[in-house]
Formats: sequence, structure tokens, C-alpha cells
Amino acid sequence: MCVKPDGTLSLSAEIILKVCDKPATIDEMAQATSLRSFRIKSSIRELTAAGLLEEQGGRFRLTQKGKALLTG
Amino acid sequence: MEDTLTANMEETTRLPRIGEPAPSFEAETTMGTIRLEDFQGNWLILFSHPADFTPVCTTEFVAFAQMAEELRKFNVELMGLSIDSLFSHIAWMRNIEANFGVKITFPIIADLDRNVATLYGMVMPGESKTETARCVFIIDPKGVLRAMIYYPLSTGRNMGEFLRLIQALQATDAHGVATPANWQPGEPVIVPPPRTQELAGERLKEGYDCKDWYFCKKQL
Repeated sequence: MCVKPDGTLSLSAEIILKVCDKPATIDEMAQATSLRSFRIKSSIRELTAAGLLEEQGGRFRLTQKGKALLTG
Repeated sequence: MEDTLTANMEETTRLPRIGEPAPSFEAETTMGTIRLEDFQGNWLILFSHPADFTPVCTTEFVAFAQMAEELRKFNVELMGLSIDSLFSHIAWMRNIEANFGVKITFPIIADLDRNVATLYGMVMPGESKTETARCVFIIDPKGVLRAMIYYPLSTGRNMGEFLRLIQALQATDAHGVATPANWQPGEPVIVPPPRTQELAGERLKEGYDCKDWYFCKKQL
């Protein structure tokens, strides 16, 4: 679960969102974090559905909502 | 009624087939919602165990966890499954870490609705109607099922065999060869036999280590 019931982020979700401050591919996210690629794919699905990430040409980047949540 | 029972039994015991795409699924795991497709690009060992908080399964999880890092060197991921709840899985993982000092670093499917167990034929009603057997499915980076191994409830698995099996499959894929009985990485591999009389005649002149035209080995 990437977004906790209180609306804050899990540690892994926070790590992924920080990497996506600049548009990043799944491979780039895996290289920049210690997370396995299957886990990144799963988290991206959830973060995209929550409106925190968006895809453009195979790269994922923060949405305004994602930025706002990350900067608190 | 009898037809329904037979149909249910067939569904429970249906097995996937080697060489075909592994049955697709989305499941709740200890690491969130995961789809089989999330492992594309990696080899996957999908394995089931009968139940959390049981002794043989605990020894297996400790062994799987201890081998996880070695498996990752060969681009292999692990994912477990049993017909238990997420909370049971989480409690057991924490218990294993507390009692055995081993952290479980791979996801475990909470298959309470038996969706994945049914897709993969993991329940063996002759042994238990309520638990999954000790099944192992080796799935390649393209999502194709490459090997299946089944163990009974009473027998813990040999982790080294799964690594050996994947190394053999990787050698086969990379070099178009087969591997002999008890093969270990670094040992000679089998050159596929020629499939025409002409090629059979040429085989012994090709510089392989041959006992006969159909039985040749080479070093990779």
C-alpha cells in the first residue's frame, strides 16, 4: 500500500515519487532505488491510480498532486 | 450434483503446462497488489506452501530467504503463496525474523479465494483439500512456464535444485544446448543431436567430445 489511510505515503512510495521529480523509466527507478522492478511496477500502478504519477512515453513523472503530497 | 463435484475436482487439480504462457493473475501480497506481468524481464520462482506457522514451511522460508540474494544474481525473483490471510503472513514473517534472524525479502500471496491456487493446480485433494501442496513453478522473463516441481506436504524442498534448474535453463536459452543428469554450471553440456542423416554423418568431425553421433558434449 503506497498511500496510508491517513493520506501519508509509505516509505517505498516516497522513494519512488522523489525519483520521479524528473521523468524516469522503470529501469531508472530501479537503479536509483534499492527496490526490485516488480515492486516498482506494482507501486507505479497504485500511485498512478491515486493521481500522484503520470506516464508520458514510458516515463513517469510527478503530478501536481504528487508534488504537493511529497513536499507536505 | 455429481457432475458439479467432478467439475470442481477437475478445476482444483488442473495443471498448467510447460512451454505455455503461465496463467496470468493479480493477487494481494505482503508487498501490495502484484500481477504476474510485473515480473516480466525477470525469472520467477512461484512457490506454494501448505500453511503459515508450520515447522517444515518455516524451514523452507528460512532457506528461500537465505538464497534470495544468490538467486537475484541470476535475475531470479521469488514469490510465495498459501491459502492464508495477509495478517497471518505478516505475523509469520515477523515471527521468523524474531526467532531465526532471517528477513523475508520477497512477496507472499494471500490466496484466501484460491484464485491462483486453482489456476496453477496447487491443491492436491488426495493430500489436503484445504492447503496448497509444495509446488514450484519456474517462469521465464517472457512469462512462459518453463518447469514445475511438486513435493508432498511432509517433505521440505531442496533450494539448491531450483538454482541449478534455472542455471540450466539459462544455459539452454543462451547457447542452444541441453544439460545432462546432475549437471552443474561449468560442466560440459550436451550438443543437440543432428536431425538428418547428412548431419549425423558430419557430427563426429565437428570437434565435439562424442561417444557416438547422437551423444556429444562440449564445454561452454
